[in-house]
Amino acid sequence: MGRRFWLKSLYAFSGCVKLVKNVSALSKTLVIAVAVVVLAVGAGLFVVLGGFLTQPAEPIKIGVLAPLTGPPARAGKAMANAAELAEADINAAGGLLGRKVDIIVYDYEDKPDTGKLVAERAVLQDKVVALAGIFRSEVAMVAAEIAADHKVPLVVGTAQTPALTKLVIDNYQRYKYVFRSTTNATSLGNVLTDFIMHYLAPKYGVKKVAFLQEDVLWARGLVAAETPRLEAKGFIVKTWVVPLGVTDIPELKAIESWGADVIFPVFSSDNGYLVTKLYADQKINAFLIGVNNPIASPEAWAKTEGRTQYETTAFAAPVIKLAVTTELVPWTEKYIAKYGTEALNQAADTYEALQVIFQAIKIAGSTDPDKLVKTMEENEFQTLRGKVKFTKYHQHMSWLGPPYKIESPLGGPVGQWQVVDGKPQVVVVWPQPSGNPDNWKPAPWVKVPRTGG
Amino acid sequence: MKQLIPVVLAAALYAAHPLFTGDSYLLRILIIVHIFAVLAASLDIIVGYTGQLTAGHTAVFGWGAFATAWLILWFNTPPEAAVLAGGLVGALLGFGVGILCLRFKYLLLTLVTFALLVLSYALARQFHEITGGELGLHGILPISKSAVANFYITFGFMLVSVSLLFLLGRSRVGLYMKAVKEDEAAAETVGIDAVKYKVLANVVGSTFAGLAGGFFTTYMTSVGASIFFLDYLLRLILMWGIGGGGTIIGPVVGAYVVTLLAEYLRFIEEYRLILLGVVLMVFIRFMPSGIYGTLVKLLQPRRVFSAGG
Amino acid sequence: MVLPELVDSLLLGSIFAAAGISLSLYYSATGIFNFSHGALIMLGGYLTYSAFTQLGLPLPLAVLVSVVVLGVGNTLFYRCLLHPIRHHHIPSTILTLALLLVLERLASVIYGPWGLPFPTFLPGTIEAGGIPISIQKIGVSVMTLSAIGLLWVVMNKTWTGLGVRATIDNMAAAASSGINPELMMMLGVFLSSVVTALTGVSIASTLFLSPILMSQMNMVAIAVSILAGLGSLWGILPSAFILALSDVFGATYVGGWFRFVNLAVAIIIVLLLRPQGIFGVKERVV
Repeated sequence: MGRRFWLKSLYAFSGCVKLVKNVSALSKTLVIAVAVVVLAVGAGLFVVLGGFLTQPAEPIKIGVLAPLTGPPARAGKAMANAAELAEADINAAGGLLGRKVDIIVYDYEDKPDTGKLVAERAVLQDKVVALAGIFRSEVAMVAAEIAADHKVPLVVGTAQTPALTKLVIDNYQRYKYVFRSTTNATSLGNVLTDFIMHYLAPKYGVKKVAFLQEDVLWARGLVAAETPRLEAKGFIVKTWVVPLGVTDIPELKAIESWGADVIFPVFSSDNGYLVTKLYADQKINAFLIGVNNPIASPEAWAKTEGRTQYETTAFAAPVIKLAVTTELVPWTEKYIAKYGTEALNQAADTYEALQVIFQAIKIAGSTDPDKLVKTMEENEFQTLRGKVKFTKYHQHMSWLGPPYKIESPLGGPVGQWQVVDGKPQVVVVWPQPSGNPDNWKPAPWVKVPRTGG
Repeated sequence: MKQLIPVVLAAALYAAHPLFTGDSYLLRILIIVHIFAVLAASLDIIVGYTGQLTAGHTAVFGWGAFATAWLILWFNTPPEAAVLAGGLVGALLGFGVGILCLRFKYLLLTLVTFALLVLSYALARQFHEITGGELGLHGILPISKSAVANFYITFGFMLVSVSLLFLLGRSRVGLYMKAVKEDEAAAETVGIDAVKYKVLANVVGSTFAGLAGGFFTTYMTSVGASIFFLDYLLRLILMWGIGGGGTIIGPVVGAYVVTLLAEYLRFIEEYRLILLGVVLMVFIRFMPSGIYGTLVKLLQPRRVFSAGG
Repeated sequence: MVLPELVDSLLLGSIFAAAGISLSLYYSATGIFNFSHGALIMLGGYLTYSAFTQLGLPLPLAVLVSVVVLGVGNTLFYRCLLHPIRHHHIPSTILTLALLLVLERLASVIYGPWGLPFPTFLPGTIEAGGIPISIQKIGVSVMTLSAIGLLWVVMNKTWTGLGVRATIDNMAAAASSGINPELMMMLGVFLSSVVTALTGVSIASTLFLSPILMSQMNMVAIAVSILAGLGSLWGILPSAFILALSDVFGATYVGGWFRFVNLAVAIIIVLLLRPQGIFGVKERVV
């Protein structure tokens, strides 16, 4: 098939060249254009067919979709690192089903059409047996379609939109290949609001809570979930929304004027640094407690020059090396040793999604998609931060609590940077018993007690 | 007509190849190329022919896509009709931009259309009840679920659109448009109504952009505010500039070259766009007629200039 | 309780002004609207960062290095690539857009796509009317305003500046008085780049360095220039402060979506109602 096809095109091409000498400019230019296109497509076919010709697909291939370019690239790089680590680890342990494992990372450039294209590349060209990863919910939705169309199991490790699970609920037969090994957005902020409600309010008389959220989907989801929780307990809640890519956050001052007792940031972009900086420099009269991803990392102390000690946030267990399982801390140290940066939450997410896939393949004894689906439905999987267990609609049951992987914004507890014995470190203050709230220190300029008490 | 035989043959080969290779990754890439080829060619009629550098072409593309999505999702319109509606929206928007073009020239036009693109993104993000906001709208019915069918559908779309645009470019209308680009004042003095041709170029170009948006969203089965990202505009400009503007066929060639090159260069993932950007800079500065235009010039039969001219 | 917002606007406005004036000067001198201006601003910041982390230079020297490198580089880029096609609007605009793309990707690749915070060189805060203001922010404002002031001195009190201005006003007349217009244009680009680099350092010091900020600073510079009116250099100052005020007050009293669109809307409104801006000169037709 291949050879005849090539001969035909060569013949056609030489025919074109002969005629070119005798035709008018119009046809000539069209011929040239068409020739360029044919060449390009031909080269493309060559690449594609070349892929087919280098059989067999001996290694088991698994695809990881990550945003290596665009705003979430830091998380994307972490996901890619975790994928690399997972590949090394599984192959060191002898591979799967006696075969080597090949994990390929695809950059979906934070765009859904690229996401569709690379997912198709993974499935059609590289013939992966499973897909994992994905940060952006919009891309997760697109990937779910590919997984359903081509019957390839997809384990989403990071994207949290409930719409993904709804696909499985509404049309199980089609979307049964879609799984999510992380939380489902609706109770991310619980651990923080618990801290506010059960500790801060009684001790300091906190009444007014101001959300300062980034204008992104998951932040909106968190605020929407936590606001009624707080209001039900008598707190007065107001929300300020900050777009991405701003150069200043005057909202902090506005919140202070409103009389907030707690400012609850919900930030995952680098603007989190700005929140910390402005809060400390302007000495805003309120407690700063919330989700501030960039500062929930070991580099935060240096990067904010110590300002981060005045705020409280939820930390990722791998980042502060909280031993939620015996596996986590050694893994974190291995990651840091290899990549020189902290192990972001998303790195753990991706590693865990791959762990689920590895174990499912082992238990099922095959890479057959339907067998894998059944295996994932019927088993529990031991991962970095706890056990993963799926509901019948393929959502990880994060509400079960330890030993199952728990839900909280970053899979970890509430903590604060403090200087202990001359060295800055993260002190866990919540939840009890591993956290001790009496260790918590309010920023020195904040007036206590609050008048709401 | 014997002259067109090689063209037809090559096109036939291209059209037939999915019958040999079936559904493949390359097929998926080509489907996207077809759509962007129309987008690039339709940009050419506005930029390359009448010389109006509008930065809002991808905004028209995006709104055409959204219009199609809304019709399919909320009004149960069959996808084919919804795509046509996308074209209609494009035409209307094109008319609006055409009016703008009358007031602004050159730089100010580019700036105002650029601001409109940014505004489009903000609006799409903000009104998430109707646009899906950051998540976008999903579950849009495609015209066909088969990739091979989509290849033929988009290929047909590309053939028809590019042919129409090409013929327009080669016609007297196209000639007048180019006259407006060369020197508007001079064109006016010979009785060419610059206003009419500028608006016409915008309407025609935007209609095809809207149609392309419709095909894009039915193929993707989803659409979101991300369609207004600057990335798409930059990608479009890469295709137009590298292919060669002012020829309709040039940007089509550019669409193929840029997309396929970007795919083959995946092994240098992060450096791809840098390379393409530098290539564009080199082309624009030293070879402004692009790949297609330069090839045409090279293959032009030598003219002998005589005193009689 | 409006004082904190005013102070904030003042500090923000000085940065906006520097961003806008450098873009405006570039345009006035060359007739080309540089769409990669935001990227060049951040590049100034990145170069300073590299200078003091990799070369270990103290801050003032690092800034100097950045100014020189950006100045020379940008001028060369202009002379080799843009100057010959400066009369052709479409290719020159596309070239600057291509530069934006390339610089953004380069910064991502070399420095990483995430935010790089700048160290605080002037730590601490002072109380003014009960409001704590960070000394670093004050220092940055002083620096940018001084730079703008210095630009004024150069443009109005030196022969070189006069030459540049003459070329801007009427190139043919200037040429016939023996001024080399090409040289003057390059000088205009160089001066613009100096302020550009300093804007980058200011942004880095008050915010952080990030490739994402390139587009944002682009919008800021474009909005400021349009509001002031293309071709008007000194109208930039009031325009910058107007936009800064609207940003701060909008954020405080209106809410998130306003901040999202205010720059784009400002550009559209100004262009529709009064295209020559507040202080504008006639449109410089290429």
